[in-house]
Amino acid sequence: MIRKRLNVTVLVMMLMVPLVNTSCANNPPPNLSPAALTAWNNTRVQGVLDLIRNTVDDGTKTVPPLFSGATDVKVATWHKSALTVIHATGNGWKPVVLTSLDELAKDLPPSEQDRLVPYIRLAKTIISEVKQ
Amino acid sequence: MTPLEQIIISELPAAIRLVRSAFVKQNPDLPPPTDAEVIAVYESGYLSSVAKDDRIISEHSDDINNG
Repeated sequence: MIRKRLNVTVLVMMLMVPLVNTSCANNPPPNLSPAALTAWNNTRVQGVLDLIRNTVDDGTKTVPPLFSGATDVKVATWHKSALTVIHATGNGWKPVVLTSLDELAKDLPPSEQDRLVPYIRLAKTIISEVKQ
Repeated sequence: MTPLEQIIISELPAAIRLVRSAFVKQNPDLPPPTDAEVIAVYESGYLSSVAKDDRIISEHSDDINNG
């Protein structure tokens, strides 16, 4: 039953990926300076990285928990590092953050990896669309 | 309610907001956001998000310290 529900979740997330993909790079407000355009793009990326962090954090509070406390700390630590790199670098952070997402997925127990992979794929899609 | 249903219910609104924001068209009657507004949104989002990370890490450190 849980596997069926997980497949539904994966399906929903995979449907969202192409929806985001078709429009992600096309809606920045007009006439933004380069710095503001960077901030706009980084806000969108930050949002999807927040979604990964919040999903895991919420998942530690379900009964029974979907994610362990150790994973919660691991993901929060990764999230903070990724946001700090993006904030400090402004541009040029894409390869680092994309690689870190792959490393994060590999570092999780298999059952938790399965649950988080759709969100990681969504994040990678949004990040790939960012023009730098 | 299964744990997965709980988490879907809690996170799906955020995920939907994220996707919908990709489709929002600029209202021609409203002025576009200024550079300062865009940068302020980003900076405040960054600070609050990092603060939440610190809170999560700290909570679990407390759990470990309290046994």
